[in-house]
Amino acid sequence: MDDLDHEVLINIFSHVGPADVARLRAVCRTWDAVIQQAEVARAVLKRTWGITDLVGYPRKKSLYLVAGLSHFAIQHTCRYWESLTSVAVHYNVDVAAIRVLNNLISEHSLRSRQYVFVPVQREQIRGKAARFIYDKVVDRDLIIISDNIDKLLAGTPECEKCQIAILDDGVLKLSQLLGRGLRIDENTAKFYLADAGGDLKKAIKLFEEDRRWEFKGQ
Amino acid sequence: MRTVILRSSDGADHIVSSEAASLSRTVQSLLEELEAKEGEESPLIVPLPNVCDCTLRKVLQYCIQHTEPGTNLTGRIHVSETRRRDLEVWDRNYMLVSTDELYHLVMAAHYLNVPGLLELCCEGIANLIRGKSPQHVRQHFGLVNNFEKAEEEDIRRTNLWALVDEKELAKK
Repeated sequence: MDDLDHEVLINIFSHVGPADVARLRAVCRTWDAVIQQAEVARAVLKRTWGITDLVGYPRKKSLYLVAGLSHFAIQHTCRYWESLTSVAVHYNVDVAAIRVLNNLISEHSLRSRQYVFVPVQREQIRGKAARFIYDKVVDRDLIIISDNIDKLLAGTPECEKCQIAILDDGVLKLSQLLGRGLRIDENTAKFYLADAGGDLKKAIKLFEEDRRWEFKGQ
Repeated sequence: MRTVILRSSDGADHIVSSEAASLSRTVQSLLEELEAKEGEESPLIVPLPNVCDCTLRKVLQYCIQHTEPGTNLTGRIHVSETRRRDLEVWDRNYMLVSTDELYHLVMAAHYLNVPGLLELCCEGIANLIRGKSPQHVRQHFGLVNNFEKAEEEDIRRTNLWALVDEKELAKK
């Protein structure tokens, strides 16, 4: 059994579940090496959930095997007349579930979003195309599903563009805010903000680190 | 319908229709070569030095079953619902073999390149593996644990979540 071709082993492993694959790594070196190939993990994920096509890669490799129902979502583009309730009714899910998945605290914070992620049922995933994404706004690794693979291929980069556009507009306000908070001039604030990739908390941390270093020098 | 002679590694000949033999892509391409070289008339003998007689017999059972009327040559199967269900049942019974036989079968299916059979065998092996602990799998398939002790410990630790039910499995 130890001289099976790698191709055959990959085929075999793609038929067992995620937990089995993770456990089988401990069998022997050959199996461990084969299982570590991304191909196997992708095949297992596709077969476990009945996904037809899989686009993109996760940030962490472990997501392939530990992906649960909570990682799957539909990306819904918000229109201005929509409310959380209308989205919830449209997809037949709980309002609270959408809030949790999107870190939405209040109803009107929906206005600041281009899109929301809608949780799905297990049966909805079967037969769909899927794509790995990491969303900065909700800070989650997600697998979004869609009937149409072209939509997945084309859709997401556009959304990323939107995020950057918001950033440019918001950068001015944020740097003013940061400047006032830390009592530094706006340009310095802008520098730290850019350094932190637009993350306010990180910018403050970076600034404090620098100041500490300065004081140490004296 | 043309017939083909397949010769196994121990020299035994099996006479099958060229349709059934062509399920194996390896044989199919060999046949095309032979036909081009020797012309239409001469008997077509395909030697298969990597497949033993009993395995070849088993493989041919599959090929013949899957090329009965209702199946077309290209491998794309246009069959009625009942026929498809019959085949599924047949496949399930066909898979009732020992681990050793299954191993030889999967090797042969890979060598002969019979996609349907390979898929079936891999699924059969996967069914044997599913839900078993690594030690159990090693025993079952005669594999040797060639990890360093520290290495194995490391893999076990990183995949703890998959191993939690191992103790429960051992109890059964």
